[in-house]
Amino acid sequence: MDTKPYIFNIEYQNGLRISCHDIINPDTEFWIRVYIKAQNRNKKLIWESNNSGGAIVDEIIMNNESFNIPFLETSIKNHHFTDFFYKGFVSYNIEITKRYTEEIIYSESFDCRYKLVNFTLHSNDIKELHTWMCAIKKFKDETNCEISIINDWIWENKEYDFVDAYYRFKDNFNQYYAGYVIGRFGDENAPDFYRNPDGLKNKTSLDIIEDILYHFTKKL
Amino acid sequence: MNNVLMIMNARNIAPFKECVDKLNINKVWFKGYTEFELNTHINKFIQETSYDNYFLAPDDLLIKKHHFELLERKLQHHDIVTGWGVWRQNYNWTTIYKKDKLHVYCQGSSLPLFKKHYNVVYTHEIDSMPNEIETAFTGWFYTGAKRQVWLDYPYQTISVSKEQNVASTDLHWSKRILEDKKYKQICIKDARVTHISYIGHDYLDLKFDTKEIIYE
Repeated sequence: MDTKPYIFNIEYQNGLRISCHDIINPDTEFWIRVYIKAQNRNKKLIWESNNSGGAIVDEIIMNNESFNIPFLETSIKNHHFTDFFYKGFVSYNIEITKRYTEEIIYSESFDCRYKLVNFTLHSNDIKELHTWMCAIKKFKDETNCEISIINDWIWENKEYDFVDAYYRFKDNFNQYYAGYVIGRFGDENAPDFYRNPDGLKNKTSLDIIEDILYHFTKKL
Repeated sequence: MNNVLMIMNARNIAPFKECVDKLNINKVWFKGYTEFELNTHINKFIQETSYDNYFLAPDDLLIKKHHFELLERKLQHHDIVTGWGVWRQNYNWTTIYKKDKLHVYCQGSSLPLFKKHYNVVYTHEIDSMPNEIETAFTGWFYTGAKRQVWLDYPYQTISVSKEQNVASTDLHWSKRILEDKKYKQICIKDARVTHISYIGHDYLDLKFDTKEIIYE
């Protein structure tokens, strides 16, 4: 797609930020539509035999359909940006059109394959940190991304082979494709719903990270 | 094989140091030099030493030990091997180029610039690529070559004076190799490299005040 004379910056480092520029016509307005990529996957459990002659339960995928769910829509003026403040992992599809003509001039999908995804972990509880690291390992395996971690204790110990780079809080590291902050923010009665989208009440460590990485997957 | 890793080191990126410390190879750190200044020092080092193979990497690339060892093994069968990664974290381009030509263009009287987005392999295309890919560009992503290759095609900036700010040593090297067709540049798909670089946030911490060459 030829995007001249437009420049678009899509950033996933802290939620979603989209900035739009038309370097020729200063009066251009843009219309942004953000969709969530979703999959309808029907699975069926079956018995399979394993190498030693025993039987194991496995699953087969009966059909697999991808579709888009509208998530956000907004318009912005030339040389402006717009922030979407939800901070969890979402597999976004983004479409930018000219405001009045509806001509699609840019589209992009979130794709963290082979890119660095950063997790900033806010906890002093070593067991909780380990739980989160196990969930992050699973996320890496599923998405084929690379992982950086910001946390002083984990930086000091560097125990996880799957991590590509460790940083301390004071390093102010910001050279990653997408970033997620994991922790308990606010309190049970007034949580930060952007960072704890399902609140804090009765939440285990696993729930906390699940709500950031899989909140939309579970809800769809 | 008797190999050495040459490191262009003008920043203090701790994960890079940790990653390189794990590599079981001779190393030479060129600390605090600009690419233009390295025209002298890298070529002098190669001419004055007799390693079988020389690897080159800048200081914002992380590689796993087993991936680097894979590159070393592959260099027994090829003249030039390289790892790969994304151009920047906020780009879908990799450092692999499909075609046998690198496109450059000129702006006025300035030096030629690299049309980086031509013929690039995108991240979503990698999975369908073969394990060994002939590429038109290496990007110094732990690029290794036999000594004779470095003697035939020395490390050189595009700029011919230090006042000109176009370095692009990686482009200039690959372009000369492509034109002569004497050697092939082979990218090893499994040798993935993490590039600590994000347009708008990078190159802010380069330091050229203290210059030193350290052998390890």
